[in-house]
Amino acid sequence: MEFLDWITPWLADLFVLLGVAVMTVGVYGLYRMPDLYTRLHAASKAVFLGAITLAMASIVTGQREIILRVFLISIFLLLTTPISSHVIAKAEHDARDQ
Amino acid sequence: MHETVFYLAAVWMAVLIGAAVVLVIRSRSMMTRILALEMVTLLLIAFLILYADARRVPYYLDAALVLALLSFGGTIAASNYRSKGRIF
Repeated sequence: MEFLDWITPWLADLFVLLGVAVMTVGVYGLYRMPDLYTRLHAASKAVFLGAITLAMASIVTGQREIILRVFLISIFLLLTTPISSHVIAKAEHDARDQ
Repeated sequence: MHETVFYLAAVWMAVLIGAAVVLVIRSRSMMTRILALEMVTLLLIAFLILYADARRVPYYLDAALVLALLSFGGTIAASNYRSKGRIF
C-alpha cells in the first residue's frame, strides 16, 4: 500500500506528459497536413490518447467528485468524437460533389 | 511538487489553444475552420481538467462537460449547414 501511494503521483505525471505530447502532435498535425481528411485523421487521434489520458491522470486527486465527473466527460468524448469526425468528413464530401 | 506538473501542462494547453485559434482565423475552407474550432474546444476541456486536478476543485469539470455537449451540437449543426444548406 505504501508502494501504491508512492507510485501513483509519478504515474499521473507520466499520463499528463503523454497526454500533453499527443495534444501537441495533434495541433501540429492540424498545421502540417495538406487537406481536410488528413487533418481529421490527425485531430481525432488527439482525443483518445490525449484528452482521455489527461483524464486518467486525475485519479491521483483521490476525490470522488473529480473522478466521477472526469469519467463522465471521457465517456461523452469517446461517444461523440467519432460521430462529429464522420459528420465533418461527410459534409466536406457532399459539398465537393455539388 | 506534483501540482506543478498539472499547472505547467495547463499553461502549455493555453499556448496550444492560441495556436489553434490562429488556425481558425487563418484557414481558408469552412470545414477546416469547424474542425479547428472543435480542436479548440477539446483543448479547453483538457485545460479545465488539468486546472481542476491542480487545484483539487471539482466545479471546473461541470463547465468542461457543458463545453463538450455544446461543441458536439455546434459541429453537427455547422456541418449540416455546409452539406444540406439547413441546420437539421
